[in-house]
Amino acid sequence: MALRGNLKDFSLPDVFQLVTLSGKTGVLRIKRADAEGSVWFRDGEVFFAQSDWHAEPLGIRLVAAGRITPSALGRALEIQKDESSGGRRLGAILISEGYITDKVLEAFVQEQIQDTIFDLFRWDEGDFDFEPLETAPAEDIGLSVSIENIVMEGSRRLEEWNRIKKKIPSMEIVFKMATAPGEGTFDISLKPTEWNLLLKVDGTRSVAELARELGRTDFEVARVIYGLFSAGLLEVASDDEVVRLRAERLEWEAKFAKESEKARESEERQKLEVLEREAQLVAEAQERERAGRRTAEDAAAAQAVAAEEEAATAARAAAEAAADHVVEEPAFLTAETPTADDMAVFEQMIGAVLEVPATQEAPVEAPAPEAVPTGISLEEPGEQAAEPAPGLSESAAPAEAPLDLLAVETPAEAPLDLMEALPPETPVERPAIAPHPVYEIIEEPGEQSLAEAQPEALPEPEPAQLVPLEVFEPGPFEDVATAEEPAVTLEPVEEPVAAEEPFFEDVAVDLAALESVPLMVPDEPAVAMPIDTLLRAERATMPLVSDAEIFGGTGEAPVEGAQDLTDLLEALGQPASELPTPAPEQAEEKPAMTGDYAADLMALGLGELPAVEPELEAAPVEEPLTGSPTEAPSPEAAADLTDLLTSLSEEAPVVLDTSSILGEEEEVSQVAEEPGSGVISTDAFLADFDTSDVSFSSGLLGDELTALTGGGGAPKRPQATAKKLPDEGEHILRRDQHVDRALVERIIEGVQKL
Amino acid sequence: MQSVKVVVTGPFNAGKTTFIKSVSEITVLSTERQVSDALGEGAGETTVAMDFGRITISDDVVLYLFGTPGQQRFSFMWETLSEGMLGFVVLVDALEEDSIKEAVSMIEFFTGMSDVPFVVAANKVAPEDVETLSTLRSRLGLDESVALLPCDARDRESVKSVLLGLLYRILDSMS
Repeated sequence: MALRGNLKDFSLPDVFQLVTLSGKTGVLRIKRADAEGSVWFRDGEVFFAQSDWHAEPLGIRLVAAGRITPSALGRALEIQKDESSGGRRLGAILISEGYITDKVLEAFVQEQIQDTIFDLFRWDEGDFDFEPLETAPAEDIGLSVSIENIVMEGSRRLEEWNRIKKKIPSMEIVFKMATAPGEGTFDISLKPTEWNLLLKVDGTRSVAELARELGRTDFEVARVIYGLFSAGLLEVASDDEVVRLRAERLEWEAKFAKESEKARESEERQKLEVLEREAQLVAEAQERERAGRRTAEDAAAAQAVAAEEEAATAARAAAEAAADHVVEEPAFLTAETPTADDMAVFEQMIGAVLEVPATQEAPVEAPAPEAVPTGISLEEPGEQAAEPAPGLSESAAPAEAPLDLLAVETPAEAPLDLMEALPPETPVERPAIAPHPVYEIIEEPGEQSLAEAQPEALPEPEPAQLVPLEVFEPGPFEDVATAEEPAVTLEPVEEPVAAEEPFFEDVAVDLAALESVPLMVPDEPAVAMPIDTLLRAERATMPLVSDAEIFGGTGEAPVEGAQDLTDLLEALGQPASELPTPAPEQAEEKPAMTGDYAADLMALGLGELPAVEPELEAAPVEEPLTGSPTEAPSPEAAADLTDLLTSLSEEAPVVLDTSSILGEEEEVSQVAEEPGSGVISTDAFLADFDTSDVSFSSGLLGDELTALTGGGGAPKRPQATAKKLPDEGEHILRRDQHVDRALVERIIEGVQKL
Repeated sequence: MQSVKVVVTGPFNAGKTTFIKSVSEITVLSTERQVSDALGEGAGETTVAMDFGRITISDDVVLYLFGTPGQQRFSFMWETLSEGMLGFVVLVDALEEDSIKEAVSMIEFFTGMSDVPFVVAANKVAPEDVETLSTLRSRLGLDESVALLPCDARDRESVKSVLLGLLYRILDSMS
């Protein structure tokens, strides 16, 4: 049956009635000059409708209603585009992607059907044509809308539309805010959509333009404006007003666009500047890194050359003070260069303070690029230190630097476990040098093991190649150990003591046989030096703390010495918890200190005191400022300590004059307890410490040795404040007694003549 | 030849190096030690430095000036450096709050360790700035018997004045 005609002859509701009564399946298309619409029927019932006349697409409706986000709609549209022709409809895609449910789609499709049909009902003219179809198309989502309901709703809307048209005869009318709102407007409450509409009413936009901008149908917008107009909030703008307001709006929009453009350009310019700056910083950082690498390579090469040249003088060089950094002397400085006497004074002082690293550094700065150009002390960042005379650098102590032991990460637990792994009853045949595997740089090819290393044999490693030893591996230790030594299994054993015969005998022999031990210095390659020199250096920096403070025997927390060590460790980047010395908080975990020195040491697993009483000098040592302001303790005192250590294997009480060892004027005598059955060698004891730590040589060893040998007990430093000068006789350090009034007067005269 | 020692101490960046350089005959030796962190990778390295200067009094007497590192973590060096000193100068940057706070603890440390005379030098303070000196004295908690001297570490004469002040104090202590 062909059903076609024009809406001027047949109204659309009549056509709908005809299709419904016939129970037809097909599509009714209506066309007019500026629009086109279609209504789909299934067995006489409408299941879909659409038009391009003020139509709001389904996706826009869903977004406006807050059912989906704009980004979700965008993704669904992309999927639909990818599926090209014959693909799914938007509603089906939204359901399959999980954005909406069937029920939501049906509700919105139904709304779309009603709005479309109502719009079509308002057409006064247009050609219609019904096309029968055999089967329902893809648009059929199973929805069925009763045509009667559609017609009734359409009629209702038509009636409402007729009322609206009485006040809004044309969709091109422009409304504006009323200058004198009516009385009833104060009780009006607006919905959000109505607020949005009201904000757009500015005397420049017509009803149709408002509908387009808001994405609403003409009917919805007209209905809201009808209500606002009826309430007196809006009034019709005159033509002149519309023209003027539109001109103002255009001007404002142009100005706003210009300002927006300026802001956008400024933002882009800033972004470009930021990007350029970042690129510049990256380039500078890369350049600094390259410069640092070049410097490191140069330094390494120079050090390698220096190590080769100084191989023959390693033993002599190990006893001298470290060379200084050679820094460029600014041309404007015209002061004298230090003499040899000056250098001797300075080197003794710096050696006493920094444990005599005895390493000559090549006249190249350290790898750190920041330190290279300045060469200054911490005090004055902008100033530079002077360069000593070339002769002075040559006279500086050349030294061996076979290994940079600082570069090796030495877990504190490893040596302890290592020692515990050795069966106590097995006589350990010790190699020439303490076989501490953690000192070995495993990653460095060509490096000799520590046991085999001789100062003159080992090349100086390149700092750039130094890699911290991350994991302790037993392998290198096996290389070091002799064939007779048992393999290290890291099995915990009771105590590393209880040898049948005094362990110190072996140590004594080994100490004599030891030519050198590596000495840890900050940032210096390890230097082999005689153990007596090592110990002398230790003594010079031993903080004056009592053994009770060390071991917490009296319950007092270690004070200055431990705090200094803690600070130093922190400076070195090592947590203070790695401090081998029992920290105050660890004292709770240790056995209670009884005050009995031997018992306390045994309880701590540190062995027992030897019973030997060496004969030591009792006279205090004064240190006059004669050529060497701060002297290390005399060789006699060093020999005393060596003898002490040697005598530790003998069964005799120890009477120790720590003043001679520490270089103090006050005498501190302690009588050690007789040793028990278990003793511990100094090597074994030393092996418990992480000697890569500077604090090892800054006084900690001294503290331990003092405790071990029954020394210590220096008087507690008196508390003083700047408000009160300390009383006479309360202090530890004394003024140089060789300086008298006459000398001071001469010094005053000399300074006045400067 | 007899040598005597004066220690110049003070908080970090107070001007100790400048102080010594102003009067020293020799170019100040500043030994730098790179102290790396536990990993040995260089991250977190810092420099330990000690300044050293000389003043020749006569053919047989030399006055050495030793500058201590100012940071607290190098305080283990202070005692060693101070052994046998004739006296010491505590240099304080009068314009830096942190410097003043550190100076209080340093003064306590040194006075508790040694009974040698000392003076406190207020760097960056003009001699006529009595008000600043008075405020500084109260903030440092200095006894009236402790000399607080204005100083410009860059100026040779000013530094000489501080040294002379210390030397006279030493002379008085000997009487």
